[in-house]
Amino acid sequence: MTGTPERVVLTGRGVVSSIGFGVAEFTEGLRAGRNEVAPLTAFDTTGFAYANGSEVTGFDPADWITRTPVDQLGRASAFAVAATRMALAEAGLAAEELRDRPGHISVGTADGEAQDLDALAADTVARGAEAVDPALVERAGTHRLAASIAWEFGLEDVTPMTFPTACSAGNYAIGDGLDAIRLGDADYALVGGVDAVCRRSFASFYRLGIMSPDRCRPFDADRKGILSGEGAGILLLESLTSARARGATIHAEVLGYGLNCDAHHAFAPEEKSIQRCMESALRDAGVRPEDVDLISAHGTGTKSNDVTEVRAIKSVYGDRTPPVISLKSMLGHTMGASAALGAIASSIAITEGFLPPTVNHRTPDPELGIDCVPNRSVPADVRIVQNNGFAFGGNNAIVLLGRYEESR
Amino acid sequence: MIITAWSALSPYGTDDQDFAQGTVSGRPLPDGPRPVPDFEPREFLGQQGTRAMSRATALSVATAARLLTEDDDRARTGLVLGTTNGSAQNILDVNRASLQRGKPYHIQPTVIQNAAMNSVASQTALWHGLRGPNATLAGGRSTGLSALGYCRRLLLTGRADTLLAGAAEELTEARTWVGDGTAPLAEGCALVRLERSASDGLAEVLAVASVVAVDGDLGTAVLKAADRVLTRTSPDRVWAAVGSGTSDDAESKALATVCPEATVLPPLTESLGQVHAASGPFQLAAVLSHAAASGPAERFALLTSAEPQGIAAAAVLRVKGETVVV
Repeated sequence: MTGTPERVVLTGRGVVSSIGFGVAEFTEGLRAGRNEVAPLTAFDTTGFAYANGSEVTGFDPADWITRTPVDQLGRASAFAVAATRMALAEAGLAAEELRDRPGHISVGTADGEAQDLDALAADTVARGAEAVDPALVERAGTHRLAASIAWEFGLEDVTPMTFPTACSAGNYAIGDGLDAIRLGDADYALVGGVDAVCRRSFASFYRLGIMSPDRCRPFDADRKGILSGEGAGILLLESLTSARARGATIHAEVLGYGLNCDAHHAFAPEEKSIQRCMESALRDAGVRPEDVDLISAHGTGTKSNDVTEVRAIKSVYGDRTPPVISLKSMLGHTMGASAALGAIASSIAITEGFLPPTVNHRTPDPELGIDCVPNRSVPADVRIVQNNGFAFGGNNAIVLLGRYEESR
Repeated sequence: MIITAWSALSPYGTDDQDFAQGTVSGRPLPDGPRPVPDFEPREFLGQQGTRAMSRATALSVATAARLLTEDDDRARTGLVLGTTNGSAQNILDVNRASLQRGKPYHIQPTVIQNAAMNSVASQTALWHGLRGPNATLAGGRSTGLSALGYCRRLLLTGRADTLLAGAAEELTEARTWVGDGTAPLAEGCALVRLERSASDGLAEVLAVASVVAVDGDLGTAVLKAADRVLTRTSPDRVWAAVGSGTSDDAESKALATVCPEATVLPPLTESLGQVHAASGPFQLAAVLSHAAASGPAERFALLTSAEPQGIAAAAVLRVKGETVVV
């Protein structure tokens, strides 16, 4: 890069989650340690010994979508558009104000328009390959998760990127928006992640033996795996110049990010590689480990993730490891949305001054030895948060957020 | 950002030269679905580890092998692949197994692995030990050129030294769903090797831009995207232009309008067939093949890729027939 890169700040946040819509409800949910678990309704769960999860309830796309015919958006795209509308509202920006400015849209996902893909598969089983509905095929296009935002808000001068990089995808999307603004390619970026509960994902994780029967208990000695979750988190990032010029409220600064690949195993995470990813994120952010006040962990609640992740954290942070929490204890595993919701929760921890808890916690795993802020949120002065995202296939991405301070 | 090499397994054959000669000579390909002839993963990659691979993964692994060298620092080498819907076929297969077997979780783990949308990129990285950034991008048919823009950001911010970028598409039942019937479906993988700077190379990527058609007018979106990248050179200096191909002639008209002096090469759908997410990378390989056949000279080339649902991407390259000194 030539010259000093633009500083990038967070000025709008949108949340669709099982514990609330919008930042206000999400904040209260995090503070209270809310966790809604119920039998899944997205598909017929007959034949599974258990099928519980945290679905988004009470979501009516028509409440959030005005320009696009609602039936042209699958559930994931509708979540993404709704969260974008909330982010613009919080930022105090009308879409018209963005139309003449170069922008960037990047959205992460694990499963794309998953319920539509499920439906296409079910159609072929029920009625044969010829039964495939072209309109549904069109709606199922993975690129639509980002493009639908451009269509709904009339944003022509944007690069719509959908990152289907599984469970770390939200951080890929945030990182790319950060770079696009740093390099001056874009004035603003709408970034985040989304996923909807689907049969394929549930059945796959169930088959792999990492689906918890009841609750998700990260860092607990008796943790039994993940729970299906869904939702969307969209962040409006701006250059500091842009945010200042319009007198925007700044919720956090995106300090930097890092990404790498384990190239080690299809399913099993690798400690050294995660350690290197953290080091590169900290370096990019210009942050020393002792300055980090909170780690929002990937924290899936599987045996393998939690022990590998905590070991990697300790290899970087040593005996000064800050509190390490898992939002998945409250939200379930929202897949491509998880890192984006983690980034939003990180900004809330900074502005509202509390550590979100790791709920459902009964017996600390002695092998881990961390403060996971068990069960109850704790008031705290939080200046810098590290937000982790890892994925099957070894796609790691970590974002650092900090309180906005004029001099850095 | 410099393109220092390219490689392609295509319906013309498994060698790069097959693609280059087929493209430059305009050799017709058979009607109907177009596989990569004579591509047998076990012959290319060996028995070990290939049994459970999807064909798209095998194509990607084999193509990447040709672009990597012993000297590459694999911790600083990454991979960026475009995709339509990941392996839609494996997604379909997981669902079918769940719906049709005795228990809804009687699913082979290898199919689960291949159904992950990041599977081709992550398995290719695993095979070659690529520990740099590893990304999968879904941008419809315009995803290949968008991926170039992403790679440029990764390289300019120092996140990698070397990136391989492109896409692989396989011929499957699920793939026929997204075919619009106007061009034969084709299989293949094309990748370019990208570096931030290089003392020699095939071409410099001067600019990449995308425009979303918010009112359904794809032709205008192509025009606007082309205009954005042509600020880096003048339209009358464009030597050749190539489009991905659209079911109407909106893209061709746009190309003829923006650079009337240029040779407009046949759209990819007319030469190679419909390669969906691999359109951009195959267009790059086509332009570089034509440039090499025309001998060394500095030339500018314009590429546009159009996603029919309403995304246009464009890139402009400075090409030298053989090498470009930066």
